[in-house]
Amino acid sequence: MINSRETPPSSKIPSQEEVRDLILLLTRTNRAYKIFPSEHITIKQFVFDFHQRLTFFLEKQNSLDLVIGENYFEFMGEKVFEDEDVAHSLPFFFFRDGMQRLSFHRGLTESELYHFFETIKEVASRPPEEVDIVSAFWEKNFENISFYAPDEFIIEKITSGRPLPEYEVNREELFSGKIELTEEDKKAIEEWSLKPETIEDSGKDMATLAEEEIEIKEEEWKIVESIIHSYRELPQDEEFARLMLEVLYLEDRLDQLASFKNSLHQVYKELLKAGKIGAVTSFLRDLISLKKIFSSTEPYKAELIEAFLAELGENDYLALISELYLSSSEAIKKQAWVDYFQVLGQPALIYLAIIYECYQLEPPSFLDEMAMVILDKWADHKPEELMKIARESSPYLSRLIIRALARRSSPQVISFLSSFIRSGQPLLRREALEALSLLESATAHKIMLGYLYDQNEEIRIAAARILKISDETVLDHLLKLAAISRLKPKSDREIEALFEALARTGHPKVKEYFQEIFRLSWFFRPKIKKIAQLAIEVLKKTPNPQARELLQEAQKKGCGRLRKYCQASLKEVNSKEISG
Amino acid sequence: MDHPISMPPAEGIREIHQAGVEIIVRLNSLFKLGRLYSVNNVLFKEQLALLYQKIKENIHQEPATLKIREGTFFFRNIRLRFVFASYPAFKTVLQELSKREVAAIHFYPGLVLEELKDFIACFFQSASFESLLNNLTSAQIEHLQIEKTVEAATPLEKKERDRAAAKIYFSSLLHLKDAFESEDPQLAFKLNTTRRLMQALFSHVVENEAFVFGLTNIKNYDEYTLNHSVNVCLLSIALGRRLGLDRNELIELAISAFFHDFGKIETPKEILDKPSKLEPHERAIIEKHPHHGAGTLAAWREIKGIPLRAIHVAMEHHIKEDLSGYPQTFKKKSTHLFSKIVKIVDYFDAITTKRIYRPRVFTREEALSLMLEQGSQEFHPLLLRVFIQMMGIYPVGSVVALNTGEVGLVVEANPDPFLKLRPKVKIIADKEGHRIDGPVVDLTEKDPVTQRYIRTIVKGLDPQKYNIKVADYFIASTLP
Repeated sequence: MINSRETPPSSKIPSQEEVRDLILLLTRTNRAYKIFPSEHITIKQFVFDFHQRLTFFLEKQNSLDLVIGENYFEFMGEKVFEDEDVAHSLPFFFFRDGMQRLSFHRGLTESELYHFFETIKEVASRPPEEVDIVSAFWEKNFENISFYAPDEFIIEKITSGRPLPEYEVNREELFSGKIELTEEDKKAIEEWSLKPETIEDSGKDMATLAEEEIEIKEEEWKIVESIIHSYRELPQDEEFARLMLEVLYLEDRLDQLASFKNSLHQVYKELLKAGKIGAVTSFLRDLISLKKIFSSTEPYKAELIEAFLAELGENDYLALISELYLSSSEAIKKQAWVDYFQVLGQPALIYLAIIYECYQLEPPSFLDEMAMVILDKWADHKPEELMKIARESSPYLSRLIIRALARRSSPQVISFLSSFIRSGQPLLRREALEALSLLESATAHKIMLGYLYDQNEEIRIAAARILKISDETVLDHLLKLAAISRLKPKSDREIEALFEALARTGHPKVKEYFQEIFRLSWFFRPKIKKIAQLAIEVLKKTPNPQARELLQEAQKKGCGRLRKYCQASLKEVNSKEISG
Repeated sequence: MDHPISMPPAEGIREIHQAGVEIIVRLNSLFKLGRLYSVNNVLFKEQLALLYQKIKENIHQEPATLKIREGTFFFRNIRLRFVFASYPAFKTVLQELSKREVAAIHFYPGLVLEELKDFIACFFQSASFESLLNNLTSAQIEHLQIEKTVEAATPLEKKERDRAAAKIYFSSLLHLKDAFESEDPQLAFKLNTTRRLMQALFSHVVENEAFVFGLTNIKNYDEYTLNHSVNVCLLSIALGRRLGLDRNELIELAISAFFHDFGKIETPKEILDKPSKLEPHERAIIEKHPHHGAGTLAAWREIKGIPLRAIHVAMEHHIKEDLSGYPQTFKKKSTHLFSKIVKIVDYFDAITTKRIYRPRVFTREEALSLMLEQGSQEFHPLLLRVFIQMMGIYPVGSVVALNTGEVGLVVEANPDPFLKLRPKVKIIADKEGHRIDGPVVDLTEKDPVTQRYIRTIVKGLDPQKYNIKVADYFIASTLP
């Protein structure tokens, strides 16, 4: 392989010392590349210095032509550098891949030198069976660096000692004997000789192709150029994805299919890495279409796709997905990601869990909306899966899962919801509580009682407010909790919530309970006074006959101040009733 | 005459490149017009003025030099890259200068239009460097100088170059055979070696295209598929080059073409070589080779670094332009550019190759004609026309009857679109029909007295009919 250019030699012969210094600088720069990253200031300095010195040399000599030996560089027949340590030797690095000459020419830029060293670094970092320096230099096509590597190197590599195939030619047979033209051909020649010849069209009649047919006009050149341009613009990863679908569509070799799942993962990963969520979605959509086609014709392929889709929720992708999601613009999050998650199916849940993990604060509402669409779908199919995710993932997502599951009443769901009573996350305890309240189940309502003892007062209050007292055991439990002695440490809001829960029932036991409260003396007992006042407030707001009766009774029988409060409350209730 | 190369100015590399390309295009126009008209013709004068203008703009304190190195033009030390549209101009100017062993033209400050006109006139009158130099001296042209090619290829060197190309050709066969016939093809598949081999092939195509085209006349050597794949690879590189693909794209195209039939590794030999018509189930097996090849290459893509385009080509090289053909795909709307290129070349090489089941083969020129007839249903029409332009009306390897009664073998097409019917021809039989090791003649040569062409092609001949082993002539030229 040759990539060379001739440069007229200079009349002035350079000193070997000058060349030695240059080569030393060349190898040192190369070593620096091994130690420092390319953008490091040391590298820049090395390349700058080498370029300066080399340019100075090339201004005088036009080119620096080095012959490459096994472990040395030679300049004009003399060794100017030697390094026998094959692990580090730059001449050996070139020699091993068959390079025999390397030249730097006048006009060499600093940028070319950077690329030159970068290429060496890149090749050195990869296994020799993958890449070689000759090939890499060839691809770089440097303007002012040329090299020579004879074909023999690659030929030997291919033949590995075997002889090259021989094509035997019998020269004698080729150049002896006679060609007897057929009558038809002879006639054609004779006819031709009778025709007048012009400069432009001689022989044209006899040609099988007409020139006009193949002439390419200028506008057609432009079309060709635009075709090439458009193929250059084709994104390789998307093309690969489409191609793999075609291969899968046609593949009929079972052994080949065994490794096909890996190829699908490769496609998927490449598209994700490129951040092409739209292309990923389209790839998945096509795969799902193929799965439908295969389910009746080639079920093993449908299974393969199914297995691939199921593996999408595996750890390999989690970090990639969340990183990609968070770096997407809001518009892409709202459109492309919603599409993607909807097409993805079950693994979307795992991804969602990871994405929700990334939110320290309340996630955007569109994410919740999208998540709910997916969760609702999966709540029917895979409730266990959802429950598992809810237990393990971000409270923001678990909250949505609780909401989705709460729409399906089943012993399993109740048991799931009940487990949150011990959750360390107040958000989830609250969500589970609300979910339980929506269920038409006595068990669920009994479970809610537990929330009345929650460490968080807000949850206790919420529990009292939505508690459904569907049987007497629940009521008895509540009455015990509302015993005066147990009310004292509670806040006014919590007491009020408990009273509301009791008052709503209209149960005779509750009447007795309030009567008991109104009988208590307030003298030097401010807390009792406050409790009674709260009871009046609650009864005033409770729209049932029992509450009215209790207030009327207390207005007549109670102590002075109690009566006054009840009177005012009743008056307020009455006026509200009148107004409407 | 030696003028050192100076550094290109930092400013306007793009402009220098554009100027260089324009100078080549204008020179080409002048060479063409000069053949038809005198230097005083209006059209000629117009082109000359434009050329002069461009050269003047580029002469500063130093001369503006147009130089050839290793078949590549440099203008003011900037490498000139051609695009599809300018390829014929590059090729013609390169040939005209090389024919006269001109390695460089230096345009000096002070150059006047008259000197440029005289130079072109002298150029036409001179067949060699020496005569050109004499003519320039006689015309007293002071501000334009020419430089002789340091190492013009001697016949011996040409033979060496051809021999090297042939060695690489046969190495390619062996390399492909290793991949095809190994018990563990994946292990035998060494893409880095292939890549390097393709780079070597590319270099031979660039430096010695006509001879490489000649080599593609080697058919059915050892295994059809291997031989065919190498031919397709070489012609694809050449076609891709005409289209203006860059060299790294060309290497990917070469690899793609080289392995386009890789799926045949799984097709039973008895089906591939069946001498009679294939049964439907056998045809179905044959038609699996594109997707089998694509499937295998796709599976190896990551480990072996297979270019994506190679998978495309393996899959699509039998899909027609109208998407009929095989295989029928799932969602394809069009085939890849590389597949379109390989499809054309694959088809051409296939129908010009004798097979047990296809005893009648088309001559190269018949094949091109047939392909043109197939129209846009089979091939991309523009790419096909570029291919035909590249091959010439009488492609290299065509056997032709000349008006002199001699029989010739086309060894090099004429790059000038106006002279497609006047390639270089090796005389293989004299007027009496005796087979001879005759000279290579240029059909553009004219009788100096009558100013008429010395030889003209009368018609193409079928080499099979006359037992002319075309490939043997090319290989024979490399023998000591």
